[in-house]
Amino acid sequence: MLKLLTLTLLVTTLNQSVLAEMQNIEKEPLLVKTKWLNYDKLQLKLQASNQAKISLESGFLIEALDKSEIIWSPVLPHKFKFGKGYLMSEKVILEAKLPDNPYNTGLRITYGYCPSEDMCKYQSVDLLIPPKQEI
Amino acid sequence: MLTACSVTPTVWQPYPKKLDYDTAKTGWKKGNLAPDFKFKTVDSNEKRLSDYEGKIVFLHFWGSWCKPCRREIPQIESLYKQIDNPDIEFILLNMNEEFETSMAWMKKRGFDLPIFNSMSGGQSDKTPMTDVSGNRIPYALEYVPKTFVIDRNGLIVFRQDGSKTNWTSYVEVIKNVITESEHQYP
Repeated sequence: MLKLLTLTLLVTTLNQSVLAEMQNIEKEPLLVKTKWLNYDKLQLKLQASNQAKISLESGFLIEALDKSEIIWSPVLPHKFKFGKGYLMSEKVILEAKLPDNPYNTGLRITYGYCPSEDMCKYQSVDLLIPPKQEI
Repeated sequence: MLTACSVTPTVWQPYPKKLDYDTAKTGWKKGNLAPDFKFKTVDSNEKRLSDYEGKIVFLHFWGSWCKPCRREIPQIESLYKQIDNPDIEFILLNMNEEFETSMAWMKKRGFDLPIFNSMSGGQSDKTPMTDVSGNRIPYALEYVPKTFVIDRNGLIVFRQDGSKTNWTSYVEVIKNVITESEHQYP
């Protein structure tokens, strides 16, 4: 009985985990990992989630949120471009120079996403800037 | 008391002066009046969709960054050349990229399609266009390519979401719109 309960719980947990992962894929085709390289350079590793077709030609626009004024402003360089085709299995590593502003708490990455062979759209992913003590 | 009155059929309804948000959210539906908006010519002259009142408009949203959009441009060019009618205006509007980029892409490949500047101002603009009052339009044009045929009365008579592999098959569709519109428009 206990084994059956454990198994049921495990299956439920797995299902939830798979579901959560699927929802994440559905929700956000671009996966981003961040790491501070030094006091103003933030490394961003971009990867397509589950072979999502993310256009390299559209480039990536990265903006920082100043929470004191609730303003999104582009970080340097203003546009990251990487050539042709799609970001598929490989990762793209960017180095974004952020202004030395303690109120910059969030990043927004805008990119071209082609959910099918027939159409593309622009969309954004918002993420928190990691604290600098983690350098 | 009876009052004599004559009923004159309204063949032309002016474009709405301002796009209401509900229309914006649902996007442009077939059978609706096309909302008016502003864009620019290659010479930076401002245009409005309503400037084309009385003409049939083939309105196409695209971007050179978008592979499905690029794929169908030769087909649209072919359609444009086959139609070759002064009563039909082709308007291609760039989305989410600088106009210079769109122009350079067309020029490099020798396309003659009439391209216009949606004034999107760059890739961060997800709601790039403005209505005639200068308000940003948050309507459902986020996906490209997207195509509309608007008749002489300003009605959307055709809508295509996503790319088509054979645009030349639409020659007849557009010719039908011309024929129908001629009956409706004095």
